[in-house]
Amino acid sequence: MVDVWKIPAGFSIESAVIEGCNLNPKAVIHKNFHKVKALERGHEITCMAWGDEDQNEIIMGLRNQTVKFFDTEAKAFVSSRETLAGEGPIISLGRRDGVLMTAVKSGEVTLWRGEGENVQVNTLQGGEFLCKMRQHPTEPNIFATGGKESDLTLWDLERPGEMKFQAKNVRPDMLQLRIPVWVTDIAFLEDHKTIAVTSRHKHVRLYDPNRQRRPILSFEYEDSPLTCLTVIPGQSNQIVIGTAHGRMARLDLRGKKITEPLNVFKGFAGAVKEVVAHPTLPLLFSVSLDRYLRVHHLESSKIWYKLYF
Amino acid sequence: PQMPIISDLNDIQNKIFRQQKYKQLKGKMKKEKKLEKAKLKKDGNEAPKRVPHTIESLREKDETMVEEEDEELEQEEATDAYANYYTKEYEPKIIISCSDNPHKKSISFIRELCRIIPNSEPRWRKRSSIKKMVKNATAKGFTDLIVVNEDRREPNGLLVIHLPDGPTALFRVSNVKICKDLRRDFKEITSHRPEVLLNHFKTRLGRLVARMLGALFHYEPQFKGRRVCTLHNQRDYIFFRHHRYEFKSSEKVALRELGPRFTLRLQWLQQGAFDGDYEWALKRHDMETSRRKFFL
Repeated sequence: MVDVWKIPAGFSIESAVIEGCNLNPKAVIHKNFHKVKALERGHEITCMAWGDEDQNEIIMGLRNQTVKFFDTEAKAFVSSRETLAGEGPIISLGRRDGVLMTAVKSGEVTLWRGEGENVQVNTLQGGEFLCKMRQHPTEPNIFATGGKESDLTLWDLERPGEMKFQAKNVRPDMLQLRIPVWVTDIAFLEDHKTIAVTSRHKHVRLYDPNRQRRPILSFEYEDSPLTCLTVIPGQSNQIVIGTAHGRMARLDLRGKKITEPLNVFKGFAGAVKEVVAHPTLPLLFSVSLDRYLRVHHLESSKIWYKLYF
Repeated sequence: PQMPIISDLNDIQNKIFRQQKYKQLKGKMKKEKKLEKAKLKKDGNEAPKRVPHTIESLREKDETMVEEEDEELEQEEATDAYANYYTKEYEPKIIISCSDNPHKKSISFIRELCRIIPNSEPRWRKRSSIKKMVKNATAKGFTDLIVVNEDRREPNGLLVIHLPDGPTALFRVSNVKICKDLRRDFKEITSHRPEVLLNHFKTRLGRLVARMLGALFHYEPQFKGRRVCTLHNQRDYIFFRHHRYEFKSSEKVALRELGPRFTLRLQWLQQGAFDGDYEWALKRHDMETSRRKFFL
């Protein structure tokens, strides 16, 4: 099962026989799980994630800082929960071992423990707002955050006051101007050492927290802001990035010509909002602002399936 | 509707031979048609009226076409950037600007646009960047910003930005005829409110563009006035025409064309006021593959 989301839609698909099961508060696809008339601006889904390892539950974060739980077996909303913290919509969610973690735009990342106190970390140290929070795939307490003017930072929940790792900006350019930072997406690569980051200023960067604070690799890709990033499972050096102009490309980070993509996925009319790679099959699921869900073949970059919603 | 097929004949390389065969085929088809018609007449039926093939009638079916009374469409339109306009919460207030050093035609174009669109103000560009213009205009309470771009002494682009972080659209303007070219006086454009007609916007994207352009004028759906502005979409080109009704008697009405005439073609549509992700961008190589596929 693969999970893809997009503002303002959110939906999930079953693999192999693409039997679409789409949830969207504002448009009907195969099934609309919401009562359309009851929706307002504040109910906009801003992020989604799988609720547990077996992928039976989907958790969604809304603009008004509530979290809704959706059961995929029963195909209905189970419950919702208010998770008020800071200001702004919930930008990222995660749940591990039953404990929910939310990140809001103003920088507060909170671990909502049922009993006992909630652990809160203020991740915005001087930046403007937060764009992304990602939990480490294997280590339970570590997560990474990034935002506008807030570079990649690794935090440990056991020590909420201090940063485990903070990235340093690259050197100023040849005119001695500081290069701006706006992190849009973060991904932990499969070798568990490096972290890839895309920015709205066209940068793709690779960090190794054990080695140095500056990125070990930094280059620019094409002309438009990069909006999303995903790692291809099985290949520890390949990533797929999506741009705001509707281009999606697969890059090899270890190759000689890094800026040249292995292949480019075409067909988008709008910005690519989110990309996810299938865990076993060579497929890429992507959602874009032109209201289409597309499934591309990873190697041949052909469109396998297109769905309008 | 199906395309007519004339098979085999295209493969014959010899031109004279090919033309002969084609003539024969045409003659045969004509004979058959005549026989059919005679037969139908004998039976008493009239020949059914046949609809001719046009590019519009052969348009490729688009999934994004909007059917009437779509519940989720209504819901979406009730919560998008133009919802305030349709509930009459604000009255549109527009700034029309141009690129630096405009020439005579562009200046006249802007002057006429200001007369057409009620509640609009012209401003010189003075080398300010669009992002700054957006910020300042929002601070001063304007609701829309239009920037006319000029190239080779003629207006060639129109950037429409809805101000409090609304969508931005860039149109390519072509075939501009200002009032002088139509041998009219721009002063004939009175300050009466115009009726606004938005024709043929069929897809989701087209609907959004229609709302954008319509929101520049005042909102009164059943308004009946003396002036009318038409934005007619055909094959992705939006034709702007401006007329005045001349009531000659209680039955006869004539149309007198006032004002400029221009065509628009949507280049891209962006969420956010000049910075943000692109909701739609025209990519000619990817999208213009079929002569019968349109997006608006």
